[in-house]
Amino acid sequence: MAIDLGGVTVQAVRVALDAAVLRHVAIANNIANAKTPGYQPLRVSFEDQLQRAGQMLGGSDDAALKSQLTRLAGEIESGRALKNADNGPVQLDREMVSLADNSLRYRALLQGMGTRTAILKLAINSTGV
Amino acid sequence: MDYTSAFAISASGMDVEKSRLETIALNLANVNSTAATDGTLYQPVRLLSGEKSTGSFDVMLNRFAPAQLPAGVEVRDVAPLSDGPRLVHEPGHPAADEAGFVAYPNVNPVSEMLLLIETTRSYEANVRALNAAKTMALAALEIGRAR
Repeated sequence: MAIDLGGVTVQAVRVALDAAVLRHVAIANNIANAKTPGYQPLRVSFEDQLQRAGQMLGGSDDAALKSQLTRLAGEIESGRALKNADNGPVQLDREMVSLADNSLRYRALLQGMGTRTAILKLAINSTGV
Repeated sequence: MDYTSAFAISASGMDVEKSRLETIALNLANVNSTAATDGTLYQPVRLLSGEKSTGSFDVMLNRFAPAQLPAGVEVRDVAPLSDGPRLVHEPGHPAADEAGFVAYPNVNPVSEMLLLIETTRSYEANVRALNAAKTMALAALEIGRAR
């Protein structure tokens, strides 16, 4: 039997990374359509759902959390997490702020993932044999 | 999720803004054009852009992704403005009519320059978005690298 080294954390981080990429796609589309008349900017809303999933973390029901994450991943992959904001035309400055924010979040997630890998490596290498 | 769609979207934005720039340049270049020998006068043009819809072929290829993923922007049309000619009284001019008026295209340099600035900024924003996607993709390559 293979030991699950990644666990729920890696699955959650993967979902969050995918969401960041989807959000980037939405922002890029908003910027590209900044001058399209009648265009409604796209938003990605899923953090509240991820938060709900996060509250299940540490509980005994690991399988439920996993299935919740899988559902979220499907929603992001298919683009169903994209919503049209109904607040008028694209504001380029706000989009640029979201762009910077999103890239930073993405990097932070990767950093966290890297640290986790480092801890695992440490555990593997410190057996003393 | 992959990055190719993000790159394609930003590229489509840059493409459209570049085409818009070309129409502005065309308008400005023809600001002093007189009528051709057949009598037609240059008409200032505007580029019309709109949101690109995901092609049906893409949907067919990618059955798991319904046609909801954004696909960027596209050029819809290059349409002439309906302004009449700008008449200048130059009686000695070879292109003047009987009353001494020469017809020039009604290009408004001020609005063209404003549109030019706006277009440049839009283009820059698209380049920023493209660079952000590139940085993110490069950062993702660092997953699992020994530190």
